[in-house]
Amino acid sequence: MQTDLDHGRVLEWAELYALDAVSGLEREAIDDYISATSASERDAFEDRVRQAREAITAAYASDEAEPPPGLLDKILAQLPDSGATDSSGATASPGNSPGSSATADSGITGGNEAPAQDELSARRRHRADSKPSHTRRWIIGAAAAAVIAVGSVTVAQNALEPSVQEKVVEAGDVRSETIDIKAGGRAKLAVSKSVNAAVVTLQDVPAPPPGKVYQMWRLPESGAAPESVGVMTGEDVSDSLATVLKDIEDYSAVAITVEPEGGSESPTLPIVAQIPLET
Amino acid sequence: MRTTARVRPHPMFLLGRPVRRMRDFGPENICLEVMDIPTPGRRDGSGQPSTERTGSPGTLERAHLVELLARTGRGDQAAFGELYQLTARRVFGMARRILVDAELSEDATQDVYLQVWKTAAKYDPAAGSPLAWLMTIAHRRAVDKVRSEQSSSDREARYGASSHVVEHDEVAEAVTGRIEAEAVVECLETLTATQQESVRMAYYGGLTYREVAAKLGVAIPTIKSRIRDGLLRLKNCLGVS
Repeated sequence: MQTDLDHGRVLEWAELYALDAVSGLEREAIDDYISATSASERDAFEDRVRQAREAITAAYASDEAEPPPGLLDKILAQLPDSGATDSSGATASPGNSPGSSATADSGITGGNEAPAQDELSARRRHRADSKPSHTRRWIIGAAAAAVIAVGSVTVAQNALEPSVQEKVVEAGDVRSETIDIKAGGRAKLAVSKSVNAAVVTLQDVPAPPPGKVYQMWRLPESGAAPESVGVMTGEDVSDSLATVLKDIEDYSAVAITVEPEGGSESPTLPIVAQIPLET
Repeated sequence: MRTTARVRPHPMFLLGRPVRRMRDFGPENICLEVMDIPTPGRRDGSGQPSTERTGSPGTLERAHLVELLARTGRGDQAAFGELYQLTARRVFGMARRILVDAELSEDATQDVYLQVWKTAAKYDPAAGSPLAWLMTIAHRRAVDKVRSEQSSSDREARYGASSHVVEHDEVAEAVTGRIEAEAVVECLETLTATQQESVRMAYYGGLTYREVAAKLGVAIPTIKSRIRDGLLRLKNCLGVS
């Protein structure tokens, strides 16, 4: 066979190669030759191998046998980062048990899997095993999709470009969680390390008491003082409200507190919801 | 991003798995698939739409498997699970045929799907049908395993014991789509008996062409020709292009 390769005859090996009817060493020799040869010969070879494989699959690869039950579970358990995943896909999420938090009645709860019909929360927890992050990193500059201002929380969308919100939701490494808010309603989190952003969507949250507003904070990983993201009035939260947070890599969590109208410089306890950004 | 144009997903798809994507030709970028390009009627990768095949079970299955592979490549375990449900009988069937032993077959099948998980993102629909991609991995894994588990002479002996000619109706039952099954049966009949024998011995026995030649007592160049010509005849008959 080496003689053939030495004389530049590789195409005639395509069928045997496709059938795996060559030895391991011969296969390597062919692979080496193909990677070093001209693009046209490589294309011709790969094309012929492809055709052979299609024919082989159609004609010879149709035997069926029932695999042992539970094999899928075994496989899923071996996927990187799968942890305690069973074949139905439910993931056990760490949660804080009631009363274990440092602040009494603070209502801090851990993440729960949302009902299956919620698309956002149907995404599985996943480490980036696939996409190079540069394909997802967009330049978030003047045309930034999210506008966050002191005194109000708003989300604006640039019509020409996918919003950061869309990018997060569609990212290959998006992680979703739902956190119940003690006062009522829930916060849905979608966070993507590759996009370096998170989307927090508040749903069914009751209006704060009269004269009060909700205020969202992001908590720096360094332990420095929480930074205000903005305030939300009863009207803001009356419909589902999505907040996009960019540059989340420096922050460990998002927290929501109840504050007097206009907001505060620093959070007033108790924290009504705390959403961890780290995995 | 290397795409020259971008389809903005309909808002309905924003919160879930994206269904539509533009093909991205950058070598290091994700290769994604537009779902509604015409898919070939046969699972042969041919670019020619076959009018009688549009919407046949083969066509729908291909598009669905392509989508499942793309989603698996993005880390979607639900899609991976569904892909398993649709294909595991065939992958395990391949392993059993070659390895015979149930435990080895289970190991090989696990290896196959772990490899699928790791490499699904690299699957390129232009490089072949999803089923061919999968069964190529399955065959390779089973053959590597049988070669490492058994010496050459054992394999040759074992092949004789477990091999059997696949009956026409077995093929018809196993292959999806009555029209496709008949085409396969007819095309297999265009091979000579010795071509068939050599191809099967290599494929199901995990034997190299040299081992096939030794077992049949035939010269190596003859065996090479039989296998090559048999497969070329098969592919031409099936209309693979």
